[in-house]
Amino acid sequence: MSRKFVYYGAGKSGGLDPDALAFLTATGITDPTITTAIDTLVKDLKAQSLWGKFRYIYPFVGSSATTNRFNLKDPRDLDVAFRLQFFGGITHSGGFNPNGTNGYANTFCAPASNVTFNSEHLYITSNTNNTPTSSNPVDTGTLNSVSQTSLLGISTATNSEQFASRMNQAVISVLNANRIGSYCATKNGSTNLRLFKDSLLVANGTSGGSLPTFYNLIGTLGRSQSGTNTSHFTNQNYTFATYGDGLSDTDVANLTSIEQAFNTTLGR
Amino acid sequence: MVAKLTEQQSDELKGKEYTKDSVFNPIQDANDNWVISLEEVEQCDIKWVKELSLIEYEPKQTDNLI
Repeated sequence: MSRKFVYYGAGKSGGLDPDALAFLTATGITDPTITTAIDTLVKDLKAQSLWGKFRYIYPFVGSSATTNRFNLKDPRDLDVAFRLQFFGGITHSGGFNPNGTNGYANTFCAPASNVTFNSEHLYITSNTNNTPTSSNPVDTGTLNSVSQTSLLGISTATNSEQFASRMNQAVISVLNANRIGSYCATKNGSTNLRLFKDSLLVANGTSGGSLPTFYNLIGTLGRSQSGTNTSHFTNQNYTFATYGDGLSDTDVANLTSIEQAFNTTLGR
Repeated sequence: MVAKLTEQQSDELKGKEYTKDSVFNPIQDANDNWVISLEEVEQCDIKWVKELSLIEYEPKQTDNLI
């Protein structure tokens, strides 16, 4: 009987965080730069007590649908592990880039089943400033109705220059002329919805409502129980996305710092 | 540009993988034509899909939710 040993980077896999190793094993990634970046990402999130606050983390590494689909928090190839399913036209080089026509990803994660009302965040990073090609694009989230929704858009309104979120009812928005950046919308124990770009608080206000039961999508907005969609498509290149519990202002600053260091390591 | 489908062709592609881990997503444009993207056409290996005629994409107007 033969035994196969897998080595990552310069050292043995024993030096890697077990969650990083599980993700790398699931994706089949052996590239040393990505291996180091994922390991550092996991260790830094744990060191800042952020790891337990996520339901999913998509680092979008490996430049293929097969590698981009895995959830760093639970890299099993299952819907219940929030492994992504891709629909329509998408490019996977250097991130997750839906085409703005019909491309998106289904997370299989419904807010009502996975977070507590008034404790929720959506986080997404775009490294492009593409002009939207569809009407009313939404970058991530879901919507049962305007009072039962969790969504985040960075190219909204008629001039496509608004960063906005509806979580879980009223809209909070702010001018966003350049779509490149790290965006977070969060409610951390109250109806106060806070919007951050690159860790800076750029808007906040009251948003009541209730949690949606449809799945969060990325690259568009969940509008049905099945997770299928035919509108609200976006065309940015995403390099990171998370969803989970509410984040404090300090949590957002730490997450943004860790995510931006991660993407800098990967040269994107 | 997008590739134009009949409704029957659209039904045939829905839910089918066009490449590993990616599924066709036919949608209707502003003129109610069924269409798929060039990425789907280029990455699939279905002969009749590669022979579909191309048209300019005109997005259907959707409700402004934010």
